[in-house]
Amino acid sequence: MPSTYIRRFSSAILAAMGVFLIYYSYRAIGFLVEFSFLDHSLWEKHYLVRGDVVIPTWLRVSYFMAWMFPISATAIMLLVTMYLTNLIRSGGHFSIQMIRALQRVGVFAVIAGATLMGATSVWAWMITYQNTAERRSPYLYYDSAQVGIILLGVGIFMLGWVLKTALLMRQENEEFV
Amino acid sequence: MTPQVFKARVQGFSAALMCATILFLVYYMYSSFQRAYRFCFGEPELWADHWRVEDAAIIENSSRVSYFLIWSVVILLSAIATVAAIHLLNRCRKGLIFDAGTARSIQVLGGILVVAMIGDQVFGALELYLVTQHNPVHVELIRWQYDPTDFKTAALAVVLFMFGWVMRDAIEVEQTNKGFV
Repeated sequence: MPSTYIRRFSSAILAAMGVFLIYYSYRAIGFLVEFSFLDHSLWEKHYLVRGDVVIPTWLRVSYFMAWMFPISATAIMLLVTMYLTNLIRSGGHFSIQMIRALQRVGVFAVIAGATLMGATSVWAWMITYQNTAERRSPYLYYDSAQVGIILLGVGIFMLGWVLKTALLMRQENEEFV
Repeated sequence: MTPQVFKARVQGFSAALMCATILFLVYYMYSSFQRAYRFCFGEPELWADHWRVEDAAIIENSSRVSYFLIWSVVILLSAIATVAAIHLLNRCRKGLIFDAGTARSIQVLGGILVVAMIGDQVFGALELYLVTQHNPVHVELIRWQYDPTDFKTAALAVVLFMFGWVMRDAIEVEQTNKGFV
């Protein structure tokens, strides 16, 4: 069983992650709903918008959906991270279950990073879609912090894969002996 | 797949990934320091033309030096985290997978990443103040800027840290039991 220090530390981290998950979801979804549906002037008076434009509902819904993917993926990534932290907090042994949870964290980190890159790549295009002039095209938006999350996710997944295979092989050998 | 084949594959993959990470580290250091140098010293108009800087502001050299130094700390912290990742990959390249040293490397990587994210938050809080400190009218206050990406990265880093800790704990207990038997 993990030492008391690890369990106490993971309890504190679990609480902090829970607070961040609530704050992040509230703030991200709150702003998105306001921008997409509630306050029409936020979009119509945006600094990229040219002329008097009326944003149709289908475009507002598309914009909302485009941003809901990364927000949901990030929330799921945080939930999976909290699940792993809870496994550690509840005194779980270093096991296949724990390694699989780590791999899942990696997978959702990659999805969260990739969907965020996707949303930021089409963001300006959607905002200026109704413009009569200076319409933007979709382009691959590169941000080192977002790429960092994708790389970290890939690294975590690969680490989990190596540890899982090695642990399974070791267990097989021990059973054989 | 036999254990030998698996070990050889992990070693080969780790070596390739290590080379790619070293190249990334070199590129990251070069591009980051070049950007910081250009903004602070190389092209002084970049600072003067910043959208938050007022026309009458005169940027002192001491401010440029301090901004460069603070920015350098953030760059170096990220570079140290990358070095920790290279160290971990090097251990896998040597075939040291279930090892207390490898578990410690995972912990160190997670820990340094958390420190790097804290550094990034501190820099984010100071940045606008440092840029606008010579404005005659409006100087931005030092204040925390919410950046969810830093928090997400820190959450992943903390998980790595804890995972390494549990793994090291398990390996040490196993070694103690073996020694006892």
